[in-house]
Amino acid sequence: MLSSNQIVYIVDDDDAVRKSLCLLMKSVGLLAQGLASAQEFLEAYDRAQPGCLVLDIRMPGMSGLELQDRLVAERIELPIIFITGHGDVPMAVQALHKGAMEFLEKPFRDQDLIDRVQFALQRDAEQRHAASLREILEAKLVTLTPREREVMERVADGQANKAIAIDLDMSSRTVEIHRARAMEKMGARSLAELVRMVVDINHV
Amino acid sequence: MDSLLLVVLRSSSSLATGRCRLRLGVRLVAGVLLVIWAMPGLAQERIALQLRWDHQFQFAGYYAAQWQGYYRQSGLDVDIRSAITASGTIRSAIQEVSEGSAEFGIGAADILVARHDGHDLTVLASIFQTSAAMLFARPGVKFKNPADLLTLRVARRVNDLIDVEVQAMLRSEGIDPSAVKPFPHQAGIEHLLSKQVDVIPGYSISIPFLADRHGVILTGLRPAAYGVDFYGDSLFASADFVNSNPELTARFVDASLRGWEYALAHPEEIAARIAKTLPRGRPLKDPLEFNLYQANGVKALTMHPLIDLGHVNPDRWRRMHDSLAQAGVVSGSLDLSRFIFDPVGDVMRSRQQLRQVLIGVVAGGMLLLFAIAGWVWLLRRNVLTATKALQHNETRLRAIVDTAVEGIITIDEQGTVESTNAAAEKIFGYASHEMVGQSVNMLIPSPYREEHDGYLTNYLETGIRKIIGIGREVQGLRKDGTIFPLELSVAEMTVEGKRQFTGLVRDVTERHALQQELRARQETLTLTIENAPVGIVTTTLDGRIISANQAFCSIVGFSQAELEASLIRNITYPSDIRDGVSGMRDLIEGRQTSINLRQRYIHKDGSTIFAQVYLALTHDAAGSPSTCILQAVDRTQEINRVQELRQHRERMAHVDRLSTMGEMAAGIAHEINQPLAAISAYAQACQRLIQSGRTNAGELQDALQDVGAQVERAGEVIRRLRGMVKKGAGQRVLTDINELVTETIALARLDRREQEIQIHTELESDLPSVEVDAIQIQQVLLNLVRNAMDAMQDLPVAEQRVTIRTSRRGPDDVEVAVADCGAGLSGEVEKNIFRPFFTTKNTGMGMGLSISQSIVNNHGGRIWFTGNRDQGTTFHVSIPSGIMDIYAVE
Repeated sequence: MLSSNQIVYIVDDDDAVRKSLCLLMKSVGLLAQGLASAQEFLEAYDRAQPGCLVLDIRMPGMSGLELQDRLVAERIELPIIFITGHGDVPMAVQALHKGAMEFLEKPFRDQDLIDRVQFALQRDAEQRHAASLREILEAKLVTLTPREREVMERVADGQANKAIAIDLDMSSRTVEIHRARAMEKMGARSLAELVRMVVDINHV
Repeated sequence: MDSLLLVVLRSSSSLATGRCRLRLGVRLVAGVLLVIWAMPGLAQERIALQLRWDHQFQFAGYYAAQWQGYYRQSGLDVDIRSAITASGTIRSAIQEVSEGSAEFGIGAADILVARHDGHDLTVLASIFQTSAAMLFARPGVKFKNPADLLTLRVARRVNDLIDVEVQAMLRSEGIDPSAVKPFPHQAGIEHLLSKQVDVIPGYSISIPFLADRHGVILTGLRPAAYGVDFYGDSLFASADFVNSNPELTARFVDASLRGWEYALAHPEEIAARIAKTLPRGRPLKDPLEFNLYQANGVKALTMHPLIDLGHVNPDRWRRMHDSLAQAGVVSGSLDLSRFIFDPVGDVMRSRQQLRQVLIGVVAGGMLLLFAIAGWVWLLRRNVLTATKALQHNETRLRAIVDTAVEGIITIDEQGTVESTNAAAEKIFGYASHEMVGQSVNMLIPSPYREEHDGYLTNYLETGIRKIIGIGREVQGLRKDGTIFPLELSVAEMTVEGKRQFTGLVRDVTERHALQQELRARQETLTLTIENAPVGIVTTTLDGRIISANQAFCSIVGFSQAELEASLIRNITYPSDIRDGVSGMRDLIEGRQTSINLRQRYIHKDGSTIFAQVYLALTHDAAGSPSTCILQAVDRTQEINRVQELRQHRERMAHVDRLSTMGEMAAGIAHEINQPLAAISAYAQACQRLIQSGRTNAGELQDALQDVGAQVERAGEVIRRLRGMVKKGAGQRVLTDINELVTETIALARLDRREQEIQIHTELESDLPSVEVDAIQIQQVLLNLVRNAMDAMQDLPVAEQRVTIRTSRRGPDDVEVAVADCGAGLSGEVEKNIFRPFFTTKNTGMGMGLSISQSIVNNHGGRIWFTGNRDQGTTFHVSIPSGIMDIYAVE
């Protein structure tokens, strides 16, 4: 699932830490980009770029937690691995609550970081894949008439045609026509596939 | 205890009181002259003493007087001449003195002979109370009494000095001297030993010694044993010389007798010195033994101390004269008054003679009056003039006596006062007429009064002196009944067969009072020193302890006996000895009059004593330093207390540093973790790169270089911490305050929060160094910087700013100011800010500023704060530059 265009962003004001981590990423065949502050990262990052973020919690200027808030606010779902030299537990809890993937205390085992970065990249790829599927479904979904959507959701919900006809005050025949149209518009080859699409849409 | 023995000049029956006073005056004048002569620095009179033989112990007293300086003290420069000339001939003392080549000579019976031959000589003192003349017989010869001489071959030099004594002995035994046939006599004893003769004449102080050298013991016979009491060696001079120089003569005799006294008391010393230093005209094989041998004989001849040295009995000289006359050696009678020296009598006698002459002249004039009328008037006028002159002299002398400071009282043999002077009246409170004619006992308090009679009687009977010629302190009784101390010296004199005693009396009440006071002061001083709370020690200039008081003993734990056998340096802390020595040098060389220094002593139990020591010198009469007075104040307790205080403060400071480090732990951990994380990552990366082969040497080299730098970075952090967490040794070293500030900022930045705060420095260059405990001062500065940061917590990070300034404050101090731009201090905070456990923070103990203040104060500095004009507070620390007094007690 990992793609070759993923980038590991390393944001740490400490030159040595930043550089050493970049080299570590490189050594396991990953692309890495080091950035000395949160601001630099914000300026450099394109949300379309897949990858993950290794972020120092305490930094002059904008701190790691502030950057996390900012990304959440901007709906950028880049997986974050926090690293800190302070071993500051309340801060770690706060970061994890806000959706950080991991929290590593310096000095950490390199393999631990590498594992977590690998995992984050995979997660990012999955997220990005799921996001692209949902976009397709949603594009199909908007082509349905309200009636067709109503019928589809009730079908996915497992209601029989007759029950739907009664609820929506239409004939069974009409229900079947809406169902056929919806399956056609959504590109579902079977009823089961349609049901899964509805579940995905509601879930993602 | 001696009583007052007052004495006198003469019996008043034969001479008028006025003349008695005159005589007294002469003596007084002579005494005064003597005192003047005795003063050093005056010109010495050169005189010669002609001995009667070679240098030997026979003349020991004169050498002793010379060597002991008695002559010099008497104003005399005496040339003591041997009788043996350089050419080996013998010089006659009689001849030398008669011709005036020598002023004084040593002779015996020959003085009488010479006098008969027309040499007008006077005997001054008889040293040998008995003659050394003897007859000696060879061993085996029967020689037990003078009668044996009739049958023996006797070597004689008829009528020589020994022979006349032998003749007197024979006569006393009823033997006609001419019945003893004279055999030729030679020097030495060879003719005796070779049996040419059976008996030879000789002296007891040499012949037995010669015999002993030959291994024989001779049989001897002393004329003295047969009632022939000839004087032996006697001092003499020409009568003219004596008459014109009575006081010089008296001085010479006095000094010579003192010399004899010394020689007889130290015979070995003088004998050895004679043998070693005096050249012999007739050399001896073993001069030392000879002189030691003579010393014994000479002592016996002087009959000292049975008879006073130099004592002259005129009757004995008369008997000697008679013996010589019987031998036909001399004829006529002997005028003893001129022949025997009487220092007082001589002067008087000359006046008496003058008076007699005058009377004769007057008588003649009366007779001639009828014949030559014109001369009468002239003669009367002459007589009147001469008499007036005499009266004038008497008046003058009387004036001297009366104005004498010392009381002068004369008494007769019965102790009856004959005359007194004005001073005596004043001393005793009696008018002269109240004393004259009364017993001198009236002036003596009981019980001495009763004893006095006993002394006087005893002396008159036995000649044993208690006070005459000695002088001592006794007690006197005034008319008003008070008893007082007085110094008394008594002179005895025989005038016309009557003994008189003159007492010189000095009231020493005042002197006693002074001595009493001196004693009291001495006692006060001694008590004061002994009981003084400070240690007091006297030492010699080279530090030997002469005395130490109780306080000093208890300071150092040694007893007085232990200290007094020791050197002060023995108990001084080795490294402090040099200071003490240089202090002493400053005192001795006059650069300082007193020295105040710190010395550490080693207590007997081995502990160290800290003392404040004051040194000063005492000086002798000549102004040279003589002893050192050392006073020591024990400051051990004080110093120990200060040291404990300092240790306590250091512990507190250490705790505070640890506490600060605790507060900074997170920041510190970060500062160490950062490089560690980097190192770890680099290491892993390099390993993987190498394994994968996707790398190059340059990349790896860069990485490893970074690894090295990070190791150093971690090390630097640890170094900074190490100073802060270790216990201070309290050592002060000269430190550049600016460096300290820079280091402190580095330390403050360990707490990572602070990296966000701007710290500005304005450091003045060329500040003097300060002698401080660098860790402690850094602790103070760190406290201030951290406080400043805390004070600005509520401000946006960008506005947080700390400024640290260093500057010179006054001529000697260096100041560090730490300014924040916080909200400033509230009144309550201002009041309590330096109090322990006062804090406005959630963390920390509230000890920071309290401990900082203690540290700064202990460095002799000051810490205070001021409000900034715009906003915030500035804390100031000033520290004196230069060397601190490590003993300073705050």
